[in-house]
Amino acid sequence: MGALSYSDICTGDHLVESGLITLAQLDEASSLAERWGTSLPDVLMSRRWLRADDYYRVLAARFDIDFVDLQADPPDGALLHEAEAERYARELTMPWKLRNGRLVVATARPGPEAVLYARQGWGRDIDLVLTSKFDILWSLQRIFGNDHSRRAVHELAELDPEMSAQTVFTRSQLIAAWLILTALTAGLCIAPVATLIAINLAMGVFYLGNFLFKGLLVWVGARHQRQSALAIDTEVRLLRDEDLPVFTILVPMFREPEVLPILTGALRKLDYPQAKLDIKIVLEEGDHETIEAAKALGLEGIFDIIRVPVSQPQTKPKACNYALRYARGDYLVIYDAEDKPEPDQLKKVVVAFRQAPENTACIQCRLNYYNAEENWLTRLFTLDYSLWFDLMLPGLERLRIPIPLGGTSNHFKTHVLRELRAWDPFNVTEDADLGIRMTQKGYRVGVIDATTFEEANVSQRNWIRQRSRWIKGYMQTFLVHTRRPIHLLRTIGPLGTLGFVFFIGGTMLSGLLNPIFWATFAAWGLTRTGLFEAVFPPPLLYLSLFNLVLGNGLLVYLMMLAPFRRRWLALVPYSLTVMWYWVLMSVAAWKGFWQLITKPFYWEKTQHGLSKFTAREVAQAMQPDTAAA
Amino acid sequence: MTGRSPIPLRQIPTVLPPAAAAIVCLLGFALLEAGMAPSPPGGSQALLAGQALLGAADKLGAGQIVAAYPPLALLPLVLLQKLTGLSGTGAASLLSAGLAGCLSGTWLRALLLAGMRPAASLAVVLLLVLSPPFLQAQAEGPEAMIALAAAWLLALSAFSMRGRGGVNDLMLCSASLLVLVFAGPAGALLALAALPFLPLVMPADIEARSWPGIYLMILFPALFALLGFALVNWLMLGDALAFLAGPAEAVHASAGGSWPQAAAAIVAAVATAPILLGLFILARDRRPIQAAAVALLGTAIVFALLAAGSGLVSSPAGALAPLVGLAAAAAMRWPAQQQREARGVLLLALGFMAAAFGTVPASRTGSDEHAEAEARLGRFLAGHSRVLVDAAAHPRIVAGRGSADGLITAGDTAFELSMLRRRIEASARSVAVAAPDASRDADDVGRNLPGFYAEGAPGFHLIYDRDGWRVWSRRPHGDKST
Repeated sequence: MGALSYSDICTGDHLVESGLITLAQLDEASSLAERWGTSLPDVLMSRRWLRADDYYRVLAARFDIDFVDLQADPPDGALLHEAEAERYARELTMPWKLRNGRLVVATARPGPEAVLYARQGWGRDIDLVLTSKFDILWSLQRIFGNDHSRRAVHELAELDPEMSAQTVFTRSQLIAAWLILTALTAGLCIAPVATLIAINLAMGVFYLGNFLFKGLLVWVGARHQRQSALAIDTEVRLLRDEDLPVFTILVPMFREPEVLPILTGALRKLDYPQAKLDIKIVLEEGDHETIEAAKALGLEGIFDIIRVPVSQPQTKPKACNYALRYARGDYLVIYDAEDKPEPDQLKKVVVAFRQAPENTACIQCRLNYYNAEENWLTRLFTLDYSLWFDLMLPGLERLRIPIPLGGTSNHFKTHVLRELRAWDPFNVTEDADLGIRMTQKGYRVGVIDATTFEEANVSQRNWIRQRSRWIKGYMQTFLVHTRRPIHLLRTIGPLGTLGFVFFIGGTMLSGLLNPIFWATFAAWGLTRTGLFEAVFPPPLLYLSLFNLVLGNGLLVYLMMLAPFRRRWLALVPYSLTVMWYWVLMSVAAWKGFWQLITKPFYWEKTQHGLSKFTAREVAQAMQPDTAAA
Repeated sequence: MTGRSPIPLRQIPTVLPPAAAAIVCLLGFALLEAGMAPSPPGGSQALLAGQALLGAADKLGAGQIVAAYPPLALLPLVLLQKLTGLSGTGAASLLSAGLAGCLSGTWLRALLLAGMRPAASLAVVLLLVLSPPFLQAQAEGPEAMIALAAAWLLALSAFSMRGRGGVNDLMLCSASLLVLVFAGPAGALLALAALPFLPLVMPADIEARSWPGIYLMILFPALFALLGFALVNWLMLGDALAFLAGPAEAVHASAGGSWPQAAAAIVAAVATAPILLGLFILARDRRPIQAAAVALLGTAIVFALLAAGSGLVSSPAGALAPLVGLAAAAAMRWPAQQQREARGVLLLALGFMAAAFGTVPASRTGSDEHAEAEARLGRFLAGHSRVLVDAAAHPRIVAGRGSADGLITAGDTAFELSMLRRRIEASARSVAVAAPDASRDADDVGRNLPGFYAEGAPGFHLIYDRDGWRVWSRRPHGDKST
């Protein structure tokens, strides 16, 4: 536990004397600051006991330095360098103006660190003025917004084009596709039955592999989970707040002001020193309603609003890339607006990073739904997510197969994220792509037992929109990472490649192929036609029967097992109705496939806030006592 | 109870379990081939061996093979027969011995991993593999060995499910029930016997109102696979329940059990696995282990009763075979402390001595007599070729004969034409036909040629007449006698 600095002690006394805080608040904040290892003002502002403006003005008066409003009196752009912008944001210190031949530096963190940083950067002949954190970030965005926005969109494509989905199909992929199609057409003309048998066999083997692979994943994923969870829990209890790093939380939002109170409420409940949270609510510049809603909430100092300039493609990864420039944390996580992370999640992540090998760049937490019991779709969606996050992803981790990250609650080492040029704004499942890219670049993704609860889609139409985007993104990811098959094999190994093909390729391909096989089986079952006999010679017929009966049975069974870990056993019988869910999945797969050809970068927006549970959550979050808790 | 200190995998002599497996496999195969542990004629081995021979000789349609029950034993047997060219019983013996070897190696490894000293582990494995029910299971064939292995897995899952309550334990339980159901009638009976005791081993944090969900999870694989198997039977044979014909016939032919038989069965079951009782007493402070021991004991008792009463288990020792699997799992949960290890070994030894004398009065039914008669007929036909017989309905004939070559059976053109025209085709030199009897009404020859058993046909003379079977053979040219 670190003692309060002399400067903080003086500041605290001064604030009490000014009547801005009470003595009781000072005592509590001092004790928290010591425990958390942060400064006293950070604690006061994170607890909403002190408004940032008041604090800076009092501080300026106390140190007898000027307080400047950078919105009214903006900095001189010629003094600022775009390459240094991330550092300005991290240090909350930047050049402001030249005054009487001396450089004036504006800081929102007055103290020895800021003086040191300023002297190292600009020499001893400087003057300091005070400003607010908000003003610094606002000014940087105003001056560098367009540059940052351009880099957010194009940096990956320019510097690592092989890893960008900006080019949907490369020339070699088009040639390969053309060759395959030509061979198939020629085969169908010369030896139609043999060709159809060959296609059928390939599909049969693919299905068999897919079933067995998923079964293996669940078996492996379910083993040893308890031990690793216990190891993390034990160490979490031993953590000291002062040793915790600053954690950046990015919350990209677009036209969803209604769920903002849930998010802020959930983030306030995080069991993490609030003064060490760097929360960025990332909004599109044109999304006035959400910006206004965020302002109206009067958020405390740990929340920043990042406004992303309008540009195309207007996607979540672009917004995140943009906001990454302003991140101050050692670690960074993305949450969706309606997310409710378990309170100890960040601490578990810190421990997991410390326990994991050095090359671990990301920890993926589990996702699940708080409105599982709302209707049939939410129940099936919950089963699906439980299977995916609770059983399959741990299986991938154990087998060292690249993990496609889930949409939120993936926690990164910020410097690795920057090094990899973050998310691909042209990929509509940028997170899945990033997980695979990390593994290809020699990094590891871990999975831990900490859950974030989200709102499950309650409407089938909305669900299909969301799922079609995911499947389209999987197709993009598959295309990007199979551009250099030898490289892929070399970087992630044979098992990793096989797993990637089955997990990413299998998920999208089975959605596309299922309707064809269902229709074939239905046509045969209804008419008992002998039309298919030629393309189903006995061994292939048995393989297909095996896949049809045992393969599908296995998938239903895995779905059934999914809620067991959480003991949500009321959901088990619903797994018997999964067939309709697969039908929806196929609709989404074909829609995604069509969009990949016609609108590859189009972001199918999922409408949130439709659930009655969410409405209840919003009402609860809006209650003043809850919000203040 | 003393806590175990598991031995790290690297400290186990890597050669030990595979060596044990190889020795057990080779010895088992040699014993079976030498006829030192004869398979009971009514046992499954002859039936499977016959089916395998027919399958490998392409005299059983592929559809019939995939739709035949029990598939888990038959399919590998057909493959093995095809690959090795061994006789039907030889392939069955090899498969049984192979399974026995795998089990012994796995048991040894598991015991060592569980912290038992090597000497005690070896003693336990020796007691298990030399126990009369284990040897009998080998003699009975792959069906019994698969059921034994599945019983062991079921018991393992029972021991861990309540304590750990993990997904893997649940999967293991489901998988073992699935394997039991498809291992053969005895396995299916054991699975049925286990059902009432599942609540005892369910994870402690699961409320009673959630039991239906858990039952659904546990039973789904077996139920779905049964439905799938019915679909395959419907697609291949035109009758979704065709696979039940064999077990139904056995039940039908069974004389049923009596109260003394039931009591004897219970005594035999408990006496064979005293280690479960011992574990129950030792595990006073470990409720999950105690609960599992009770559940397994209950399963063993109910299984013994069902086996005695249903006629589905062909031999008394066959009814005790799965209990070896339960005892093996109990031995793996036995405390590793030296003195207690000795007690565990002693209890195992006691159990298997009891098993040597124990008999479950599974009724020796008409189906056994049929089996013996078919085996005898098969041996008689060993020197004959171009024999028309409904071998698919009586695979034990093929097993007794040792080969399907030279038989004209269902699927062969000569057989089909003979049945259609109701006249024996010229290519058939002899015809084997069963007496018209309700229990043999599945025989195509008897059904399509109703008078053939009694009178034969012009130009045929009787060369075999025993146990309800006759073989009519064509007279040599020029012989006009009737």
